[in-house]
Amino acid sequence: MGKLKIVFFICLILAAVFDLFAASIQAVAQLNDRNSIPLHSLGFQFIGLENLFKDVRTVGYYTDKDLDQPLAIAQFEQAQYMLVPTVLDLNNTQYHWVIFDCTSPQAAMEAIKKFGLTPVKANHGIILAFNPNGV
Amino acid sequence: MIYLIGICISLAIGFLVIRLLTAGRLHLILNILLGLALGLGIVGTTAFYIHLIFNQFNRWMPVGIVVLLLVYLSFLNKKRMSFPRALSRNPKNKKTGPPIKTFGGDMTFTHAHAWGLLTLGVLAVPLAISAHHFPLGGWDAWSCWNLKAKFIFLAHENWKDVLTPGFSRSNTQYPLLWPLINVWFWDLGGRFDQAVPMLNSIVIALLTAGILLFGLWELTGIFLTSILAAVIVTALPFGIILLISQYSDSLLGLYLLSSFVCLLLAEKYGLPKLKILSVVFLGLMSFTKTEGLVAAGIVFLIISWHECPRKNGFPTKTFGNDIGKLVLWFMIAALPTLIFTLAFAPHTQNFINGLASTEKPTDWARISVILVYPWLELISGKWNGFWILALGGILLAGKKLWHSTLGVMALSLILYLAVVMAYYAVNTYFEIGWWLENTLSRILFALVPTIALWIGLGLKPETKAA
Repeated sequence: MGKLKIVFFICLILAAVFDLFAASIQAVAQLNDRNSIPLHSLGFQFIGLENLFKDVRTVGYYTDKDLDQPLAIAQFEQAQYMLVPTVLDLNNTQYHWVIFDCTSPQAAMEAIKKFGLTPVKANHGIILAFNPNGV
Repeated sequence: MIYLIGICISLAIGFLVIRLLTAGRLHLILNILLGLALGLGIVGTTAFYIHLIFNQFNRWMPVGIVVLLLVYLSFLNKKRMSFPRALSRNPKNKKTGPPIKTFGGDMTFTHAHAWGLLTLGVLAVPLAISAHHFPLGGWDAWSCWNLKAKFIFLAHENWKDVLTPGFSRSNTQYPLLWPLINVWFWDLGGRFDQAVPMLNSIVIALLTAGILLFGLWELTGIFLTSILAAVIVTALPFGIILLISQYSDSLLGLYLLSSFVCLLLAEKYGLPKLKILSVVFLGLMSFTKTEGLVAAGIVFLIISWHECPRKNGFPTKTFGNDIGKLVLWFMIAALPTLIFTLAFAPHTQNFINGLASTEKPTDWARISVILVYPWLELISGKWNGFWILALGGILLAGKKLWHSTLGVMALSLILYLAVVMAYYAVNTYFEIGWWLENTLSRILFALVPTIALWIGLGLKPETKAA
């Protein structure tokens, strides 16, 4: 039993050393990885809109993207995170302000025209539109 | 700078509470580590009562209440220290030694203590680099935990918008301790600051490592094992990503570990008031996640059973005052959970009862996946062989792991995992492969520090009678 314990402790030491080594490799890779865009930078394109929505409780968020795709739903949830405390009502265009996040700017403009809204602002493919008849 | 002030206030309040409970008989470093863990829970709970119960969205109220508590505890501690106490302490007789007259408890500081702190410093480096690489944390941080925190802090009386059905993806039924801890720090700073949850996740990770290291060392006297346990648990690359993801699972793991460490220290040093602290940590854990609530309930019931006075091996009908105190303090600590669950938490949208449903029933295919997948998870490469090492440790430790307080720990872990697996089987809302793949590793990782403590204690050599 004594020998087994010695073997076990050697394994513990090796495991700890290996973990520290692997953690160091991961840390160095992260320090050098300045070009990849982490998933959560999807929300950066919405920064600034929170000033416009200061006293607005709910805005619409229209998208023609497939929300079963992780990137699409991530962008919506990122947008929500950035624009708190304003609530984004998914695919509801009945509000004064509606954000259009579509597969292309042309698709967004077609949707804006279809719903009778007025485009106000655009940023990296995200278009903010105004609904004069909105609630 | 403001963040550091918040940490100092949280530390001070937790430190003073533990100082009162232990009369200075706990080592200073453990006192600090457990104190900060407790302090964070206290500030989060205070933010819950002030913001959500009394609807006070004034930034100074939660901070002011905590500072007042701090002043009161300082007064209590000073009053206690002014009573005559024996100045000498027999270090060999820890069980019955009188309280020592230093404010910070046992202040012996050896080279080993320095190595322990250096280890924490080394572990902080990859944690900080990873946290900086993912400043917004993982997916569930910005879609669930930090989202709720932002709503509470910025939406004021409209914070309940985050509990509406439109936010069902954000697990609206989950308790709020982790978001509220961050809210308290934002109250102190007067503004939303993304750095706060990022820094708090690093602090919680280091607290877990520190309590495991110094707690295991205090309980076993074996320094090398304690350091190795802390390094293996905290330096696992997959674990680092989970720790800095700003999820509530880390807080759950910290409080579960702290609870058992306090229970074990209470038994070792004859400090029954540390058992109160143990159940307080359980109460706080119940407010971290639904899984935390389940774990807290299971562990508390088992601890209560273990603490029951017995005659001929059977619990006696009349319970002593000790059980009453444990129940009282557990209920006090778990009160926010009770209030939130009854008054605020919406009915979970993501639940289909597979035992009753004809469209999505619980079938043998689902059960067989649940029975097989965890074993594949345990041997997967991301754990770097941790579970194989754990199995080796369990086999080496033998029967010792299943007796007394270690048996309490073992039973708690087994029952908790059994309930989790049963929930996976019964709730057929999610496709089981996807659900296990995305959640099981987090649930397991939250238990890893406690498992390391359990095995480390089991491997402690028996002391030979003189």
